[in-house]
Amino acid sequence: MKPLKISKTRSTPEINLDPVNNLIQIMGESYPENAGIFYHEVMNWLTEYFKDKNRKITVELKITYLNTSSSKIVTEILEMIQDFHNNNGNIFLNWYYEEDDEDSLDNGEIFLEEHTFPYKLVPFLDE
Amino acid sequence: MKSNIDAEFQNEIKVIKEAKKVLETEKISIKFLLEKYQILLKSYQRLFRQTKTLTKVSDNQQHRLKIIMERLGKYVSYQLFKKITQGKEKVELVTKRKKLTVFFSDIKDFSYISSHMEGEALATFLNSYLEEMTKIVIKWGGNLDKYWGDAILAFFGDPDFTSDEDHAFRCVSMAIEMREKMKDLQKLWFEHGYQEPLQIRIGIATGFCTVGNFGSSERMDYTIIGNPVNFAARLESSAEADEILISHETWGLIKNKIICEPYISLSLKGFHQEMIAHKVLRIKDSSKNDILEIDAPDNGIKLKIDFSIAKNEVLRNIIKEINKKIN
Repeated sequence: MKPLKISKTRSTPEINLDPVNNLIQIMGESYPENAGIFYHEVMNWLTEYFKDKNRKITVELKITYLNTSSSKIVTEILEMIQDFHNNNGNIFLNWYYEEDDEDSLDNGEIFLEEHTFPYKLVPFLDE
Repeated sequence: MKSNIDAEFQNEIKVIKEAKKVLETEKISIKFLLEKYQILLKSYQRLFRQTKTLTKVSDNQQHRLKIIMERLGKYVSYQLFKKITQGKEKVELVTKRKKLTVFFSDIKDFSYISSHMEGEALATFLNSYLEEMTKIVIKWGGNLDKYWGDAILAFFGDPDFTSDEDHAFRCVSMAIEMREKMKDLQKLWFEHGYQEPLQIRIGIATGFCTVGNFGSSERMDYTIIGNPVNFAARLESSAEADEILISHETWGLIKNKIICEPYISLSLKGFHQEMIAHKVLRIKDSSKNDILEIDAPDNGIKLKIDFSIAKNEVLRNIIKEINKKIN
């Protein structure tokens, strides 16, 4: 599989899908006009990637702002991670939230409370 | 902003299509049906989880937005806040000329008084004063531009415009109510151990101002500049304690609704000629007829008394004079 890299824009995050190091990173703000179209390539890549159950994957989500359409995409990604985990896949998620921002932490907890795969809520300082 | 969100629901669209296809199948085995049912149930459970998450995320974001709006609302005037949040006001460096009635006030000798107070006491004292004055500005629909220490700058006529008369009348009414409120605050502060009688000074002027966003594209301030702002500030600094001085133009708009002392001429810094000002006493009681007028030139009588201004002492002296003449 080829890696997929998408640079950050004003309304879309930096995306780094690295099959060699088994690292999935989404970082930045996400409010594209059409999230389904923006993430189409990413979702196809992930669907293909998660088919190999022998991978040891690290997912890093550091999304500082997201609109509702992007939230739907994030829930889709979390469902994919859950499916991978349910099939005995080795996966770990680091969910980053803004330090000292209770709402940001709450948001992370809300996204993850329906899931049973291993994860950690990691604080970061707003730059 | 409208967007086609079908792309985010590709999975759901696919599941619904498959389920419809099953219903259209004529000969169907139980095994096949159970397989499809399991897929449908799994998809429904997945969608249920996602819906729960998205509802909670949305509630969380709306709650956060509400708190931000409430906090932000305390930093800008109510009218401006409404204008920004309702999307009527473009966030760009644009100004316009508009006739406004401008209000300026401060506390007499505040610098001297504050130099004798501790920081905490000063903050408590100043905040209690500004809190009460701000309530009155909001009550009369003024646009609270800014605080400068103990000074308040407010204006009427933008963003909400009614009429020049209405702006002037509401502004003067507001000033009178502030002066009245000061009496309550003076008692309160005295009871709290402040011996100086704190008194307000107010200046009001009407005229064309430049109003709008000033600053840079990154940080702007919605405010006013122009001659009436300087005029109101100069009138305020010329006012005695508990006095409201208004410009001749303001007076001209509402002279039938207020009672003022005879006008005075003032030499003000920044103004080349003497400027007329009126000292506001009170709002005219429209239910009372304060004017006595007798115009009988054939009988040698021409008399006009405004009881709202004439002092009793003066009237008694005139009656004495008339009695002397008759006797």
